[in-house]
Amino acid sequence: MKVLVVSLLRLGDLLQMAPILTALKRQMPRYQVDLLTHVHPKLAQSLLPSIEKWWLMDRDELQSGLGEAEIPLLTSFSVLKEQLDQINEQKYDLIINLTQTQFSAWIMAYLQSTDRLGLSFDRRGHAHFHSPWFRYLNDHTSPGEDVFHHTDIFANACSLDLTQDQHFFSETSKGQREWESLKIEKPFVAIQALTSDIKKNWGLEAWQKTIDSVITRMDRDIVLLGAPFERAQLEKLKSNLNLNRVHLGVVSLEGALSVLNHADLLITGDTSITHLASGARCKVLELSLGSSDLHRTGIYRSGNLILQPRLKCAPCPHSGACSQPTHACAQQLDPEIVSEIAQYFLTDAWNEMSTKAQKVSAKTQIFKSRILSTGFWVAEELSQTEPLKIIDSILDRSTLKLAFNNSSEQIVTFGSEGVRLKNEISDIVDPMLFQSAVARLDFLEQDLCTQQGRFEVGLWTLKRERPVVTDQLVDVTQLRQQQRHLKDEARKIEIKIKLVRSLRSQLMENT
Amino acid sequence: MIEILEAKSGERVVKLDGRLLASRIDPRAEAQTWLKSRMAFVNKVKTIFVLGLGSGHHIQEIRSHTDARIVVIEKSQELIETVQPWLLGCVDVVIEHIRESRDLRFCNSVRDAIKQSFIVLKHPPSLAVAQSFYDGCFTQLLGRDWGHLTWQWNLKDLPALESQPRVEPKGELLTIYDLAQTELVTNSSERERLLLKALRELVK
Repeated sequence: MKVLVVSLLRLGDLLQMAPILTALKRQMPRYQVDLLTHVHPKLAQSLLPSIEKWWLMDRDELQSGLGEAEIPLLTSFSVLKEQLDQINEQKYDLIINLTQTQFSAWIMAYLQSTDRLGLSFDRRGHAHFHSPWFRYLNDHTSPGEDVFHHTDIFANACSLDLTQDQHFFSETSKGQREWESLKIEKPFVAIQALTSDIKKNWGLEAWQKTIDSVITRMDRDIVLLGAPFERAQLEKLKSNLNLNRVHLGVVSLEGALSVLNHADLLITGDTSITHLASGARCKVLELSLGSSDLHRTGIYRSGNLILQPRLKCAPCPHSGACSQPTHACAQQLDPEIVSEIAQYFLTDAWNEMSTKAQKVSAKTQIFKSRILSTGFWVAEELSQTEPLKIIDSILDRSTLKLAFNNSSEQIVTFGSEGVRLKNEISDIVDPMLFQSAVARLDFLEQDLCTQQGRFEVGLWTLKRERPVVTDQLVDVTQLRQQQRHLKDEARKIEIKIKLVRSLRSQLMENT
Repeated sequence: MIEILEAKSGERVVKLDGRLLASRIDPRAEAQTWLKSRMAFVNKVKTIFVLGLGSGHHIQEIRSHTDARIVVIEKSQELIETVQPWLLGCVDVVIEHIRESRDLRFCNSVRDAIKQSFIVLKHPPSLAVAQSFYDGCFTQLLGRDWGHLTWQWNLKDLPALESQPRVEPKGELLTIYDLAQTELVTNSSERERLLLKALRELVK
């Protein structure tokens, strides 16, 4: 059986999908898993050994063919057609689109397969998602919403269990040689100072202050990570620092992985290195600036940190320039706070970190990444003044999971999900607060029952509607859509009520 | 009139009607530099049209980078007879003698090549010898005006773009925006439409 995964975004997005690709191969070992991507194989193929065939669609080249006056108008069309026809000749059984863009949807429309998952247009241009998870991704696009992590959405859409084992990238001999050539002997902190998006950049001056502070506080050397085209900027940064303790780590992605596996800590902006670090062994402190949306794309490994300035405009939309007169988020993030948090992180001083998080919470949010036993990634705010609020977030995730993954005819195992929820909450919430948690659940159940009543009335009202031909026709399609929406929402409420009851009974056993 | 000279690097260089068709110093290095700035699609397309045979060094350079068919368009029969033997070691190179640019569309190897993907590379020293001829050839192969676009499209044996021209090109050259407004894209269910829609997204 042949599966084609379509990932037509950037390198970082592809690396973020690595756990999905590995799990696909693990759960379907006899399947051939191929990849259609814009990312050149020399950049990442060695890090994704589960991929058998790498189809490169050179986006930059196609764009230049459309725009440059010296290239025949039909060249991009012909090259694209020939490649997709070649892909169609492979007769894939399943094509999974992990790119939620119109471009990929049109490509999916042209590609042929027995089955498909993900966004695809049909011949008439109507969108199909083939899974409620992809529809959810389409419907929840506002930056900063508390939504599922992209990796969770794709994993659930593909019915993959990522909790079975932690995904790690494998080092290559080339990467190890690059690491050895750096000749770094002392413990060090890796720094990824540059990103591909100017809005996500913190600024070299801020990095310089942080690095000076890290060297002083933690007595660690520093390795400045970067690609060859970033060398000049990194040399400039290095020239303003303690030259004995700062090393340039201008390496390939394979080399960067080896560096990360030797580092005590990585401090980084939102870049492809962050997603590479998800599959490495060092601790990660991620700085979420500009359009970086931590809930969707934060470091996908438990126990790491994300710092985000508390601003109304954060995160900002990807497209478009910064809306502020100055780069407010970058300016608000204090280098001393970053280095102090890094120090606590390195020494596992979580109590001190929580205290600091409370003190700085007006201006800076500090999150700890966690992968729940229910299978979802969450970002837990360390200065959370309402510690029980996390229960709402966890319940919502479980509700949607059960709603999306189970048809209405199947029996949903609320009991076992309730046990998982209870175990999760036991880890996060102080047992002294369990009684308050039970009270909160009581209130939640009452509220949900009230909502349930309203939905039932709404559904009954809609059922009584008849399409009547009068001066104005009743829109039958709209009625059906409303009915479907109400049924979906009513079902979610029903599931959530059952989960609340299951969780409450679990918690009451412990109070 | 053709003269054959020796460059400082030892390679043969042709002079046609008093104009050098390659560097007198190092024609191979010149060819490498020339191709380096024109690499887009070189390894993707099925055919590479080259306007001008020159002294053949640029043809050899292209061949060292790709297995695509190379179709050379050359106005001078005398030049072809001189240089073609130097390219015997280059496989899949077709040299077409075209007298007038309007004859290009009747050439079988050109028509065959257009059915699949291709690019067009201009050899500047050759263009200097017969500018309007090569400009005419280039315009036809570029396909960025309605007449030549439909000629190429029909050769590809694809569903018609439209029965009546509705596209008004903005400025001098057609773009993907214009293609996206054709009847094929706006009002049909043909598969080719899907690709044009996809390409349109790339330039939004």
